[in-house]
Amino acid sequence: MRPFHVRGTDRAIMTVKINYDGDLFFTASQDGGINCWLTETGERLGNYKASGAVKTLDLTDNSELLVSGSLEGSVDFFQINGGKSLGKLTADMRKAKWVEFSFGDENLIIVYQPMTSTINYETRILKVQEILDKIKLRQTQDVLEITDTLVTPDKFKTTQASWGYLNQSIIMASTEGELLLLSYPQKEEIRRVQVHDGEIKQFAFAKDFSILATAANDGCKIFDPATLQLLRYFKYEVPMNAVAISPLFNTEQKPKPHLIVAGGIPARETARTKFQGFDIHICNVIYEEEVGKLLNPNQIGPINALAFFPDGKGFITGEEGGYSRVYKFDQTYWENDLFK
Amino acid sequence: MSQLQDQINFNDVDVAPEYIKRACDEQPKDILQEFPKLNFNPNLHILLIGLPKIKEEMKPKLITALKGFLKKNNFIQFQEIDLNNYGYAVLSYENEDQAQQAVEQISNQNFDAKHQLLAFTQKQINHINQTSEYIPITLKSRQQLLAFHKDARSALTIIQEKTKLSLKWLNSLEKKLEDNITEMKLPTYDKLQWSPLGQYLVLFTENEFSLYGAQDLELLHKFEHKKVNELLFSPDEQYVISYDGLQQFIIWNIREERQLRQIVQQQSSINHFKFKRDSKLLAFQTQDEIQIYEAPEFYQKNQLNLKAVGVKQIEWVPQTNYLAVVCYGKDIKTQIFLHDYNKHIDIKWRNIAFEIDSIQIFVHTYGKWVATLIKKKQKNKVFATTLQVGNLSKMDPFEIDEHTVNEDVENIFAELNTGKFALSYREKDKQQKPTSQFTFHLYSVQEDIKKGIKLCQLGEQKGKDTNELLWASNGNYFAMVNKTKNSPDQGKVEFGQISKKNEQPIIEITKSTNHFYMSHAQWDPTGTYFITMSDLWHSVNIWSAIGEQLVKDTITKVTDIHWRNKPIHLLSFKEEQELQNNHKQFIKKYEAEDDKILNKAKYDKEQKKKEMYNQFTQYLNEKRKIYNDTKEIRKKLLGWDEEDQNIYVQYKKIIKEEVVNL
Repeated sequence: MRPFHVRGTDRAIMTVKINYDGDLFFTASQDGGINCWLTETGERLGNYKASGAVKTLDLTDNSELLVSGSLEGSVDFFQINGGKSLGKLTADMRKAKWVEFSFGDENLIIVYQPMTSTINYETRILKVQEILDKIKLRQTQDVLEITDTLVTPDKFKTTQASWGYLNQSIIMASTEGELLLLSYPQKEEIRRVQVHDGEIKQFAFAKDFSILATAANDGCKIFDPATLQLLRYFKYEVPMNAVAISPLFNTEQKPKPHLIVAGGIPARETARTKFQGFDIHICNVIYEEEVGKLLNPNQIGPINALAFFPDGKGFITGEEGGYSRVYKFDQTYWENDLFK
Repeated sequence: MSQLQDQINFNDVDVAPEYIKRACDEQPKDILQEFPKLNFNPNLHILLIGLPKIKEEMKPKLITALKGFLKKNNFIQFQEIDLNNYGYAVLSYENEDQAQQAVEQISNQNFDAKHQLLAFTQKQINHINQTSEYIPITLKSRQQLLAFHKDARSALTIIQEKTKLSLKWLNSLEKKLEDNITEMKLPTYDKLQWSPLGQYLVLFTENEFSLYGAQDLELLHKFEHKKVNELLFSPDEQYVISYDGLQQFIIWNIREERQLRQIVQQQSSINHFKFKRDSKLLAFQTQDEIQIYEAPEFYQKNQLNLKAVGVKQIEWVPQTNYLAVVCYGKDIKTQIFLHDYNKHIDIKWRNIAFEIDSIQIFVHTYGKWVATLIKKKQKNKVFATTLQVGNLSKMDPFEIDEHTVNEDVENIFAELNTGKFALSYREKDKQQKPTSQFTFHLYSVQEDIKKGIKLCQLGEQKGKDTNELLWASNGNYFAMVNKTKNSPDQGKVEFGQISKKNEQPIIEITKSTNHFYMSHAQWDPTGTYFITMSDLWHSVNIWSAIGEQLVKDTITKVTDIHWRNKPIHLLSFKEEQELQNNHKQFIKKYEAEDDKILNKAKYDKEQKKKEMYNQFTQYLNEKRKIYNDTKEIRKKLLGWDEEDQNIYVQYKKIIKEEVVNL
């Protein structure tokens, strides 16, 4: 399984996203550039200039609209075809940490740190169409104010807020290792659980929302998204930064009950040790065991982001070193008994 | 009248000692018994103690003084008084209430500067006389304390967050750790260690140290010693010496919880104490003298004291009566000798005529040889290091085998059960500057019937990034590790073993691996397992002696990890020889047992896997059903049908071909 790599920046890649059809993928880096690539060949189609170091991005299902959140404190909107900047939200924002479209692209959730505080994080839900209309009205002024609904639990430093199945719930993760389940649109707290010792770096759902996987300092845990009950636990001695679940996880024919999880010791400490732990682990969720490990010898930094192809035939990584690698599973993955 | 007690000082008219002596010889009488038994109500009387002891003629004065004392403080006056010379009085009152009230008033009052009064009613006296049954402290028997020796598995103490202790067994067949004592809460402590035999777990706090032990690791003994920070157990663990790090040593009897002796000596350390192997004699090395203390009370035996000018190290030779002594220093004659405590003679080592930097001495565990490490010096620079081994069965003259390394040896790693040594020194680059790489020289002490005791070279290990070599206690295996913090080579581990080739022992490296950010490395007491731990990432690895990874785990917030100590030889010498003679039968027997366990474990694992599969597929099927049932809602939210193949557009590659006319 030999990957090819693409590189559009010198700085660390923070996030990687593949569109619904799987023909394009987007990498966002700390220097504020979002690159669009063709999956088949690795050809770069274009570059979107965001206003600051991009922490997070999301796409609509019809591949028309791209939203990115930057650490400079703005949420930028782009038209994917053509790369036209539609405008940005900046009011009262110190850092934007997470953006995500709801199922059906009607709503947009954003997690950000307000100007008034350095500790608290706020989560808001915006109507996408309203925002776009406002952008059309104020074409000369591209700064918009946030005036929409607000979901902020007390003393909860949010790192990620995602929509549950059919937008009926919202799940949030915190820097203290807690998971919070809110009902939507009632916004009532259903459950709040302490699941990890440290910060939850990222969590991901299976395609059919059957499980939820978290990545944190002490490994990777699998939960039931409806009740937040612990199902499986993969222990790792190095911190894990990213997790992705195979889209073929719960298909009726030939399921692949796998997830990939990756990370590595922080880049600032790599000089002090020869062991790095930059491997990508492929895990079987049913038996709670690791079935394979991938390590690219050219890789020199930890992995920050992972994304599975929609057809489950491969995945893309985003590295601290600025590289993004495209892996395609070879024949043994589909034929060997080990991967069943 | 009220000032009478102030005018007469009752202290001056104390009873003469002879008078008290005579009074003590008499049979003690119960004062209350002397009262007439008719119409006697004991509840009307109270007992008063703490009055001055006086002679017969002073009695009336004391009574008036007592009356004045009561009047002055507005206490209830008594009706009658019966007083004796020992400072006791019985006061009688009108009714019970008054007596009760008077006791409350008089108790704990100061009669004068030196006398405090105490009063009791009859009820209180009866209550005091009713003694509950005395329960003596039940000491754990030695069998109970050492019961863990019979278990062949190695035990591991794991401490999390400095407060939670759990003891686990290593199941080497199934390659996992099993719980023995699960999560005991520890009090706050500064330091923790196991005693050499593994009987006691010692916790140090600022002003005391406490010993835990037996089956459930309960608190057994507690000893008070201010600022205690070091301990030395006697070989049979009956006595312990505690040291406060400055100058005070205390010898304790552990089972009796009793302080035996206190020694105050400046500029000395706990290493200056040496117990003889049978725990009967204790040698203490002071400046220019060796003092001997004898068990069980540890009185100093003056006639056994030995003059030794500039003594630097002493060591008892086991199974003999020799004490090995090393003396050297500035303007002091360098000498090494063995003092025989039976015949009171000195046996001299070889003469040392050259200038030396330091001498270290090592003694075989079974008393067959003595080894010394001598660093030679010239112009304040060490230029050579010599390792010598002397045969104790050929003493006149001493038969010595030696080997010299022409380097300044930084460290020596010794294993004294079988006689293995490793010398290490830093390598130098072309400009003669020291680098971070080390060279190890390995030696083994060989016993031969014909040749006597020989020092045999095992070989060299050059250019190693590791700086420490740890011997397994059986002497067959070793591990080279690097635990230096912030070094790029931190976490390197290399395993090696000693094998025989053409009857010549040689070394071979079996595995070199890495446990990143390793901060702790230790052989288990039998020398078959090796544990490495990182306190930064809380990861724990257990390796077999040749470097095979047995256990890999992360334990949340682990701060400390220790093997529980055990004697190396659990069987007696005869039993061990019997085992060696019939080892083939034993191998068959135990391999069959192992197979049974392994097959069962394999079967269990398969069953568990099946169960996991069934449970999880059931869970997934439920979820899939929900997913399929809500298809319409999804369609509504999305605005199109995901499974409709017609709305998908196939990706077409258009290749333009042009014929170019040249």
